[in-house]
Parts: sequence; structure tokens; C-alpha cells
Amino acid sequence: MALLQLSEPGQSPQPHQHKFAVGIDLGTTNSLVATVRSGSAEVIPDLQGRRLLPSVVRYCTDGVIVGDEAKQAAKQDPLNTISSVKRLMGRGVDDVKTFGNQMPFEFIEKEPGGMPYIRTVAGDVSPVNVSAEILKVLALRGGEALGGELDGAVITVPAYFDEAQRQATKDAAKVAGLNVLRLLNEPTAAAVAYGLDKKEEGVIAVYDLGGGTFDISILRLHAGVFEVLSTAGDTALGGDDFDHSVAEWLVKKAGISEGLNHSESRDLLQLACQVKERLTTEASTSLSFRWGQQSCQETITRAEFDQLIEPLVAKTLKVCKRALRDAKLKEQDIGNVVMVGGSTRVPYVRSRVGEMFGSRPMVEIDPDEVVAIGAAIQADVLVGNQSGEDMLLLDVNPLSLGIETMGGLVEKIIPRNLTIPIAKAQEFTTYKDGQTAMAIHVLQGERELVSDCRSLARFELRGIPPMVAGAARILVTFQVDADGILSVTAKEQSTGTESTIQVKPSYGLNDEEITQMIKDSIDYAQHDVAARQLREKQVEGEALLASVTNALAEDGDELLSGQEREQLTDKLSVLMRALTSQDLAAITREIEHVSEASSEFASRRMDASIKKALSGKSLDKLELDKQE
Amino acid sequence: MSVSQNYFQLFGLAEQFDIDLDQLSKTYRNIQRSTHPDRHAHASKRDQLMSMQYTANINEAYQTLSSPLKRASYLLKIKGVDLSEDNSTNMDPEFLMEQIELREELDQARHASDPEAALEKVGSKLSKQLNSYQALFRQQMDKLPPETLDKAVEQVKKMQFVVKMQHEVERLEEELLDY
Repeated sequence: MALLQLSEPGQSPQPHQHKFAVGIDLGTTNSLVATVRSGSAEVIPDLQGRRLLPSVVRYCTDGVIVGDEAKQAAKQDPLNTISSVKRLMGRGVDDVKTFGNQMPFEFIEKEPGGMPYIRTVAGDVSPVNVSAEILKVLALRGGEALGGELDGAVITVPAYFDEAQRQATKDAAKVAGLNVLRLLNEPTAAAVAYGLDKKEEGVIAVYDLGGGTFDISILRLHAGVFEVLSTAGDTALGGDDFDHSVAEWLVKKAGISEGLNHSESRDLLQLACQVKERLTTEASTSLSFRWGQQSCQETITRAEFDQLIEPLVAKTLKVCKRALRDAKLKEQDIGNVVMVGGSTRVPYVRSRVGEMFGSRPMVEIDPDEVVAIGAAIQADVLVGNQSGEDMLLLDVNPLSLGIETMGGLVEKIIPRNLTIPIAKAQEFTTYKDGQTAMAIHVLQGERELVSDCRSLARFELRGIPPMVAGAARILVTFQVDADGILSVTAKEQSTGTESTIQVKPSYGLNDEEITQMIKDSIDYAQHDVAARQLREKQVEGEALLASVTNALAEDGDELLSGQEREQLTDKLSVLMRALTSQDLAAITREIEHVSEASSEFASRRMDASIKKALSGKSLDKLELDKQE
Repeated sequence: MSVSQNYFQLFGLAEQFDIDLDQLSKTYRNIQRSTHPDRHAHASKRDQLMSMQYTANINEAYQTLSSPLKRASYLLKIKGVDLSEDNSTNMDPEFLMEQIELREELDQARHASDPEAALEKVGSKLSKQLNSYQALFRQQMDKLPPETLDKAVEQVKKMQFVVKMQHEVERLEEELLDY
């Protein structure tokens, strides 16, 4: 039923090519890459056999170091060694002022309220740059293991990431030279890893507590369709906060009154983290700490530790309740609870979650790896290696999108927990005679006041034809795609004039800045930018050629007249000729021609497939037949 | 997707208020299996864009038909009554009185000794009301020709009132539970 499947058994115009695709879990503390090989998904280790890549990047005068080696250098070179960069993605300098004091870096404000840059010996770097360095290492690891350049990657993000954080992640992938097949929500990825494995049916909850973020998603699984019913979370709550609680406890207990220096603070947190890990298996543990001229020796029991983290765990359970409400379900409706993220190793977390949902949480797949595994499976489907007929993920937008109205209030345009992609149109009018421009402020969040929501972007509509006040009818369409990323288009209704839109992302990068970053990227300097552009266009052209050729073979007779078919075939052969040339302009032009000429055909095929879905024996029924 | 096709036709359903919701979600999933952007992730950019637009429309259609109020308003829209352009508020006084009383009850719930229970009481009254207006709407739509359309419109307006207050109940609940 896949519409533009490249190969249909027996009538494939070109041999089935296995494509190289990976799933990447870009985590706060650690990152991983996984792929599907001979039918099963597995994590790809580095040459030393290490599966986790610490999400730490060290900038030196002569290059960049990522992973364990960078992490080890953190103490000796704290200002140039950047960790937990995920917490900075899509954030503004003002956010950094509130939680950045936990980070020892020197932040630079390039423009008031904008994106924070970090000063290093190798120059000022943005969080997007830092993430791109991590992605490059993982992409390289994946490419080497698979034996070729990657065709695409699925990158996971916390389900509760807002639009700016998603955009920043996508930008980082672009800078790293990765083709992003999809941004996938982490809990959904975990559900895929479990659901496919167990042929699960019914409603499940995915509880994902990582180093720095918490997510809960409620999903209904039905004949391979993973339908997210609701999602909720906290992008600033994770296992790191457990460490801080332990550290604070020790400070109080040992009477550490004078301020610790950066290096001592780092040691203290590291110690706290070790204590947390030891208490996973032990009932109590002893710890010793030195600072300045002093030292202390203490013992902590698991019960004491549980008490320390109780408020944090309670906070996550409250978020779970909210997700249940949004899904219009009760605790007892949940069949299984899947545990994801390293912090779910803490026994107290497991027991409280188990208590709440009245079932033993599922922990069979390593909670550090389950997200990458799910992402790899989805990447394999999206790149076209599997027909993917039996799997479909329907995800939601986690936060409401709205616009600023009179009096600093937010009017919701797209409410939270709607299945994406989704588009909503809203009509606006002018309030002055001859007004030709209009500003729209887009926000994300659940609160009523602009000041309580996150500012995503300001759009300026220009080119409105001058009319008397209130006469112009401007239809603005807000569209959230399957990656959870927003785009806005506008049209004046009475004259049909398209308004141009200028976007100013509140904390993001505009297109020119990204292009500049790609050019600045060290790897890129060695490549010829023009050659890269040509190659990308060729790939795009080949994909178009293949998909239209296949479509013609499958449905050409049925859906096109002889004349229509001939016209399209002519255009295809021109494109084919162009593709053998090195002429970027010609390829671009012919891609446009074929796109245009085949657009009606593509839309007829889409309609035909919907009709087929309506009339044919439904897949749900087929599924039932199989079970009987 | 031809522009003339309405949401009922899109899902192969008769244009009426009573629909089989199970059948609707089954059909929805089946259509998604062919239109969803994930099915076109390796296709050309044009196909990806088209798939997104189709799927966005299908999602909108599904959400409209799944919700009784949205479905009722949409049915009226098909019959040529656009409620979003109708700003008249001459509702029957008895109904308005009822709503004012419920609103007072809602306002007091915040300060009740057991606010959650008080809210639940308001909530269950509201859903009872909603059910009865839906039943009336169904009857009146069945009886169309157009002279009864006005009555059907009135039911949908009442449903709008009730759903709006339901949202307020939810908001207050969230506030009290500190979500």
C-alpha cells in the first residue's frame, strides 16, 4: 500500500538497494547510534567497544575532542569542555541566567535576549555547533560500521521539547551534514523497540527519565499503529537533579559552609552521582570528600537517599497524572509501563511508578539503549529498507501553539496533543487604512499570558494590498509537520496576493546563519561547497526520477491518459539527461519541470490510495483474520 | 483529495450525526497507512510535501468527526449554516438561567471544603446536559427539511456553551491539582 515504494516484487525497474540508515539518541549525558543489520537493531560501539558516547565536547586550539577523552579533560580544562549542551538547545540567554549557574562556561550574548554562545579557545560556539560535533562523531561511527556514507538518520528528541528546541536539533544535524529522516520523540522510539518485539496491543505508558529531561507518553498500540494519545514532561528535570540533591545533603551534613571552587563543585557532583549509582544495588554506602584544607566522611542509606529524591519523583508522577487526563484515561487503563533512561535504574523510581500504575514496569531492554534501538528501526523503515507496512507512528504536538492578541493574551491556534502533521488557518484583518504590513507573534505554552509562554518567533507579513481598514482578509496558515516543526504561510483572500513572511526565531538561527555555520564547519572547508550542492541536487533528482518512474509502472495506465503519460515521459527523459551532466542549474530546472508535470498524477495516486483504503479489506480486519 | 469532498465523504460515512466511532478510527488508521509522511520519507520532496498536506487534512477531518460538538457544527456547515459567523446570542431564557446557576456553582467550587468533589458535581451536570442537547440535535437533524434547522442550530449553540464551561472546569481542576 505504500504509494511510492521503490521496489515492488517482480516489477522493480531497478534492483533493490539497501540504504544506510541509523537511529541517533542525542542525550544530555550520553549519546548513542544504532542501526538495523540482518533484521535486528543493535547499538554500534566505537573501535574500543564503547557503546555510549559521553555528550561532552572539548574545544582545543588545534581541534575538537568528543566523548570519553573530553569528559576526562573536564576537570583540567573546564571552560573549554562543554557538557549537557542539550539543556541549552533552543534556549535564550535569559534562560541560561536561571540554570546556567550550574554550568561553568563563559556565556556570550551576541544579541540581546538571543541565543547563548560559549567562549572557548577555538572561538565562540553555539549549542547548535556543539551538538553538531557530537552528531558528526556518531555519523562517522555509523558510516564506518555500515561501510559507506549514511543515506539518512532518525534523531530522537524529548517528547516535551518545544519547537525551538526541535529546530535547534535539526539545525545541528544540518551543520553535521546529516540527512534527517525524522525527529522522533524519545518515548515513542522506546515504544517501538518494545512494541514490535512483543507484538503488544492495548494502551501503554512510557516513563522516560534521562539525565536532564523527563517525558511521559501514553500510547495506544493497534495492529502495528502506535498512536500517541498524550504526552507531557519537564525539560529541566532528570537524574542530574538527584545528584544535586545528594550534593546539597552532603554540604549540609558535613557543614561545608564556604563556597567551593569550580573544580571542587564538579568533584562533589561526581561523587553524588557515584553515590546514586552505588545505592541502586547497595542498601547503604559511605563517602568521603575533601575541599580546601578540610575533609569529611559520611554514610548514606538507601532510605535516606529515597527521602532526598522524593519531591523530584513526586513531581514526575504529577506530570504522569496530567498526561493521563489529557488521554482521558485512568491509571488502571494502562496495560504496561515501559521504563526508559538511565535514571529509571533507581529502585525508588521503579517502585513509585509501579505503585502508581499498578503494574511492574518493563525494563527488559537496557534503558540507556532502548531509544536508539527504536530510532534505528524507524530509520530503517523511513529510508525504504523495509516496506514498513505493519508499522506506523502517529505522534502529537506536545505544547499548544498560539499567537499574541490584544492586552498581552495568547490565543491558541493549535492545542496540545493533536496528532501531527496538522494545519490550522486563521483570518486576520488590518486595523488602519492602507496598512501593508502586520506583525504576528507566535508563542508556545499552555498559559493565558504572553509573558508566561515561550516566544517562538515573530513573523512580519508584508505586501498586503492597501485597502481601507478591516477590508483585507489575510488567511494565515500555521502548519506543524511530522517533526513537530512549525511553518507559516499567508495569503490575502480578496485579491489572492501571497504575503511574504519574514521570520525572526526568538532563540534560533535563520537560514543564512546555518549556511554560514556549514561553511565554517571544519570538515566542510576541505570539501568543495559547490560539489556538495551538485551532489545533493543529483540525489534529489534521482529520487524524483525513480519515484515517478515507479509510479508510472504501477498506476500510469490506470490514472493517466495516453497523452498525459507521453508528456510526463518526455519530461522524465530530459531530467535523466540533465542528471548525467554536471550542470546544477539544468538539474534544478528539470527537477522543477518534472515536479510540476507529475504533481496532478501524484495527487490522483494519493486519492486512489485513499479510495483503496476505504473500499479494500481493511488492514485491521486482515490483522484479525491472521490472529484467528 | 478533491476540494468538494467533505469530511464524511472522505471517510466513506453517511452525512449524519450518528456515526460508528470504531469504524471511523479503523478507516482513519487505514488511510494514514498510505498518506502519512513516514510512508513518503524516502520519496521526492514534492511527494513529501503533498503527503504532509493530505495527512494534515485527514487529521483535521478525523478530529472534527470524533468530537460530537465539532461534528454537529460541521453538519450544520454542510447544510449552509456557519456558526462561526453567527454572533446572535438570543438563547432561551430558561437555558441561560441554568447556565448562570452552573457558573455560580463553578465559581464556588474553588472555595468549597472539597473542591475536587464540587468540581466533579458540576462536571457530571454538564455532561448530562451535553448528552440531552445531542439527543435533541440528532432528532431535529433527522426531521429536516429546513424549517427545523433553526432548532438544530439552537442545540449546537447550547452544546457550545456547555463545552466551553467544561473547559473551564478542566482548567480549574488543573489549577487546583497544580499541574
